[in-house]
Amino acid sequence: EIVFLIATMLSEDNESTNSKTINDLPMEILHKIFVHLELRDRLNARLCCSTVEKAVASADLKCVGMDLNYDSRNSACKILLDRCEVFTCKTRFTSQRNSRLFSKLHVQLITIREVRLIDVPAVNVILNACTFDILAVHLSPNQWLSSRIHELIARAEKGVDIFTNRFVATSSQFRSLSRPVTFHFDKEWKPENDDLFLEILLRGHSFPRLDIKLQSEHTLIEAIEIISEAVIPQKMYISYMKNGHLKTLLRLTNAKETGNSAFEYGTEYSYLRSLIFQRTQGSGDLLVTSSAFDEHRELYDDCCENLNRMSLFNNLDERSLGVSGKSILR
Amino acid sequence: RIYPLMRVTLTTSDGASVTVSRQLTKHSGFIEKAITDMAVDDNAVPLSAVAVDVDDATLKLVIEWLTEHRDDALPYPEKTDEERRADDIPAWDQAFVQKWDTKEDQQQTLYAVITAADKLDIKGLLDMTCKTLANKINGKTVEEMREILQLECDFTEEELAEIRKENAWCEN
Repeated sequence: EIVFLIATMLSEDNESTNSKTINDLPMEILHKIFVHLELRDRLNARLCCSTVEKAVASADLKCVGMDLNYDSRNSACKILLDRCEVFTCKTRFTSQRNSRLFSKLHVQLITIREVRLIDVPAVNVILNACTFDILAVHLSPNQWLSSRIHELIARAEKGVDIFTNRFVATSSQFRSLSRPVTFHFDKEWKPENDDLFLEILLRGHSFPRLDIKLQSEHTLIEAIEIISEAVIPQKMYISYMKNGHLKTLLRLTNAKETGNSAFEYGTEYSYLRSLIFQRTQGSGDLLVTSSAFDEHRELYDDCCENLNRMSLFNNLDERSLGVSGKSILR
Repeated sequence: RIYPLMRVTLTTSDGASVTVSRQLTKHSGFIEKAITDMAVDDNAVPLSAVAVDVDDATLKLVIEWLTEHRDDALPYPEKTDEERRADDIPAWDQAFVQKWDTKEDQQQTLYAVITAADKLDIKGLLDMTCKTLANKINGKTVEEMREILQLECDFTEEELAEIRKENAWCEN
């Protein structure tokens, strides 16, 4: 049997270099251990001994969430970092004094519940000291995004969510956004004109849910075209449309029935049927799905007076929509 | 391509040797690199030998873990920044580590396996053992941490006071 010997790679003194205590572990390994600790545990660990303190100081701190809010009781802003209250009127974060708490601070989700607090200098220091994946901004009624928020939007590494219960943005304000944003808006929106809605779609912005009243059925066609050409998978869910307009829409989009009983017209509740337009990943097809809402008869009474009314869902799990049939839009 | 019939003899730092299947050593970046660097023809050379800077007792534990994980997918998935969780250790791995708790030198065993996983570049084992150690000190007081990690406080009172002052940033 042939044996191939590979040169020894032992250390010169040929003694085992096994670690006896945590102090003997290389700094890279200590970083791998401390990265799994929550902030409060890291703070305790740094009081253990000088080696661990050095390891914590040079290890990145990765937090799940940073929550910025106004503390009305103390009339001060409050920052929660992974459930630890890290900033109030009593204590201040300064990059000089707190330089040994972490090497780099990375937060998965920064939630700004009170936009005015962004202008507090000490808040700015901690926001400038960290990187983050997702930025969530809660806007008050009639409030829009400040230039400082725009800067933070540009720095978000994965995405931006904006929560508002009143849409006041104009076309130029939407244009000023440097990246696609997800808008969470849970009331009906009546844009000044349909073009504004189409421009929002064109710019890649999305809505987990948007109830919108449009002026023209042709806007729907354009919206479907935009979604069908989108790079990322998108889904549009149209409901509460009068039977006649549903037929018009299908005719204008040349939708053809390819599934079972996807589109059944002439039945008593056909006007309550809804359509889901979904851009599917990987294929160039736009999926049109029909879903019955017969059991929600009371909704019809409220909605049938509207010419076109639709709810827009993006990136939703299809299972939550009660899909009952499919057809491909051609 | 890995030839599972090929075997590798590992020589430990304390002079012992153990022969294992290439199916196990493929999880070690260090051993794979050593074999690759020598341009061994797996078909012609059914047995290779590699010296490792790990003692016999620790290597046996490493091989036990490798045997259980021989079918794990390679390469080991890179962790993303947000994957800080340490509560996802598989049940077999948890039992594997818990066995050491009965040993007097349980902490040294854990350190030894961590060091071996690092030296042999076995990412899955290194990841699991680091999480295990993190879990041991998670939620513990300073005194408890010192006891678990067997550490002596080498700070002066002034230094401790300074660190506490810095920690006050988030100890409200």
